[in-house]
Amino acid sequence: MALLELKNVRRIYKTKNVTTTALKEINFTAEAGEFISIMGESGAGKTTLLNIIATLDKPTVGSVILNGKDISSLKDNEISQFRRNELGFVFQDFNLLDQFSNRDNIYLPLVLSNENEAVMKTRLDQLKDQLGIAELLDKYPFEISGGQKQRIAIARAVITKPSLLLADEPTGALDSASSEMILNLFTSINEAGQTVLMVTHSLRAASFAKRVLFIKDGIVYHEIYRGDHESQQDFMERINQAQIVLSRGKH
Amino acid sequence: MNFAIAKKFAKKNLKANRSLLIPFVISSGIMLMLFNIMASLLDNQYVRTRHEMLLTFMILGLAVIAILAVIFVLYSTNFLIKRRNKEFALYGILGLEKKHIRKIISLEYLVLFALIGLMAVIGGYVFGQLTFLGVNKLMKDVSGGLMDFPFSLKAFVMTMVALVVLYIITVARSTVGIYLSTPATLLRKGHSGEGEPKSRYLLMIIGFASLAAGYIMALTIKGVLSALSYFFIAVGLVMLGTYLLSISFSIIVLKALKKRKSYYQPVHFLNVSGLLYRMKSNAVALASITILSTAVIVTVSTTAAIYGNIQTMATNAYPRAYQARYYGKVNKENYKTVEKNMAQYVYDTAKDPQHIKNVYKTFNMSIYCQENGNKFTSYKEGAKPCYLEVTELNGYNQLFHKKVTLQDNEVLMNTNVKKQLPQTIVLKDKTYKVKPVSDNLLGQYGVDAYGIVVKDVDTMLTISDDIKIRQGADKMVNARVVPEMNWDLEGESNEAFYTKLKKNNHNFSVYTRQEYLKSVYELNGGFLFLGIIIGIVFLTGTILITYYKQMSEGYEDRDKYQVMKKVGLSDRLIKKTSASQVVWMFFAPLIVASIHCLVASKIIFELLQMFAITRYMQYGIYFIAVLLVFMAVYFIIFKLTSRAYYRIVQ
Repeated sequence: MALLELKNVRRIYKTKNVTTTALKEINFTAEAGEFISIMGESGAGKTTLLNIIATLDKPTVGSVILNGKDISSLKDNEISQFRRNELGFVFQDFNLLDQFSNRDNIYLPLVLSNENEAVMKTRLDQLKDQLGIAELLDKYPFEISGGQKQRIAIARAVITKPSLLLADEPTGALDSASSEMILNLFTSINEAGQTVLMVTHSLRAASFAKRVLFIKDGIVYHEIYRGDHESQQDFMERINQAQIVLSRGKH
Repeated sequence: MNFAIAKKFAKKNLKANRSLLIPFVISSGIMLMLFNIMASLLDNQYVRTRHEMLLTFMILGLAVIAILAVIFVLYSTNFLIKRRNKEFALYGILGLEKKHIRKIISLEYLVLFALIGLMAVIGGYVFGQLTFLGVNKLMKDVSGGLMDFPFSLKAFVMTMVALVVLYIITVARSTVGIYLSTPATLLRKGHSGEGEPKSRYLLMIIGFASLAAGYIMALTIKGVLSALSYFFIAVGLVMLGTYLLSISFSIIVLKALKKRKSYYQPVHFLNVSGLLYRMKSNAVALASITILSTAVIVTVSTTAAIYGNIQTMATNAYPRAYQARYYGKVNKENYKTVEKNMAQYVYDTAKDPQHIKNVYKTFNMSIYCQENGNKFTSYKEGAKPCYLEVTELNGYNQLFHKKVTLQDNEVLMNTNVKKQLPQTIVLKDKTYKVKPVSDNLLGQYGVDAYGIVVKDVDTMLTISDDIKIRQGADKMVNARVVPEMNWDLEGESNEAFYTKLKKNNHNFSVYTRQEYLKSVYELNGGFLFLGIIIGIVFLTGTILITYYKQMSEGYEDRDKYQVMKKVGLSDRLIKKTSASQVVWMFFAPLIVASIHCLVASKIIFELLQMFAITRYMQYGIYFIAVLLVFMAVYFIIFKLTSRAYYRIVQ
């Protein structure tokens, strides 16, 4: 059974005079252990799609099934808990809270689930070397660099052992060296069994995934898989080609 | 940059920042309005001729308002700058020169200060008239009407000068930062106040020491004179302690809470870290609110108590409506005759001797001498003076309706010095056994003194021989024994009687409680007036700082909430924890202020003995009433400023 399944998802925004169709009809499934990139130009509906999967927004029509559960039917009081237990988030602008030390920022979702301190500590111990954050834990978010912040944010996202890790342009605010490091982290997390869904418009970032979905005009237009022995450079070239074909189709 | 563009910028900015600027205009307007009112009253011919005592209070009040106005304006300006650094940086990046920015700022504040000036002048005149009538009422002066309060040109000029000075200070303060920094540093300044709060143990120790010293002083000082000299030291120490503990102790406590096992519970986790973050940027504001709240409660309750006890004060000083005293020489041979003549003279003045009621005759004597243990001797240069107020038993029994008897070697004794009375006292070389009494033997005594009742006038005259008092530079003379008669008048016109009494008077001095009341109302009405004005000033400051604090918290919380939601906090939990933090931040100052006031009430009670307040509850009742009213007002402020907070957050 698929981990995530989107069926006929449509999202329409209505204001007084204007009706905007952000997503027309999205269908796709993701299996457990996949690393998927979603690409598309600005306004293609990437962020809307991610927000819907993230339960931050609801589809107008259609259903989103995660782990066999239709998340669009969740009640408001279940959503926060569901989000904490099933989903991990990594944002472009990190979204760390300045009032907490980095350690407490990572603990936050577990504290909210009333996890006991020993469990939190054990889980963080397992993560800190892989993420290279051992030295950062007692500092505060405003004392560390962007790349370091993003590693803290990743730790926060995966410490709950979520079914699905969602990333929204995770390298958007980072320099290339930091970006490379973060993307490599995603790869290694994925190799350890974590399902990852990343929205990006960067070719380089997308090429770290195993599958790339292209969204255009509110539908999934195209998808390509990375071959088993295909180099990352070659895959990036293919993504580039696909994107060129897609944008040519516009004219 | 031409004027039109600057005008456009200024107009746009004023509109965009109106929620920050309106409180600034209102609070500054109120301050200058009060300034204008005080200046008008000071210049008013009627006040100058009728209420001379008030003038001193007015000058004092004017000075306090001027100083506080500058402080408040600087506080507001600092707050506004902090919020607008980003905006100014952006102007710089977009190519405006520093002098252009200064031009825009000057123009903005010109508009604001024009509004403030308008409020000060119009409000000052309208409320000035009300104040004028109110002051007359407080002083029991019924003759002053509105025609006695014309528009004061002098006050207008003074207010305008104050306005211009404040304007220059504000513009200078606002632009100096821009001149001293580059747009890049300005951009970063928006994030100042960040950084992990440190545990400052040294400050905490100094803070506790200073607070404890102030409290101990307030609680243990006895007697009016020492209370007066230590009061302001105690106030200073408590203020210092409050500021230091607010910035150190609060952080240390919260950090300790963080170390506890139970820290990782959702509500506790969010509250402790949230409060820690808030305290970091708001500690000084909270301490200021505490101090200002304390000042409001103390000022208003003290002055109200003084005013409310005027009647008691007059009754203490003059037990009856009239009093006659004889200041001539009195000795063992003539005192009975003098007493008789005085009574005769009073009865003769009345149309009918039956109209003289409630007569009470006595002799008394004031001595200032030197105290050494329980020994009292003639005063010598350099010693701490001690006052003895001596009366005789007969007068005492009449005044307090008692039937006490005394042996030759016995005295009744009472004191306003808060210490144990000795078993015996020695006056020069004669020893008397002390029988303590609780009656007020000292009447209206401001300074530390002992009241003594001796068996008869002969004993008084002996004492007057034994303990000499100083007259002039180095002459020592006997203390004067003064025969005194007190009575009420019923059944005929007071004015006619009093005129006749004074006209016929040869050797006697006459006093009436009425005249005394008039002077006291003038003095104490002035106190109350000043108390109310300064109370309003402090309250304005409290509201202003509270409002700005809520605003700045609102801006910080807005960003935080978005993140919390994304991380998986439910709306309910966010609302619950933030509401409890806001309530804590709001009521902590009130709680501390209440404790300060409670402690202060002890030393204030000592001071108030100058104003005939001898039992704690005579003051306590005003204290509690003012405290309750203030709590209600504070709660209203909380509700109103919370609205501003939630408007920003949502």
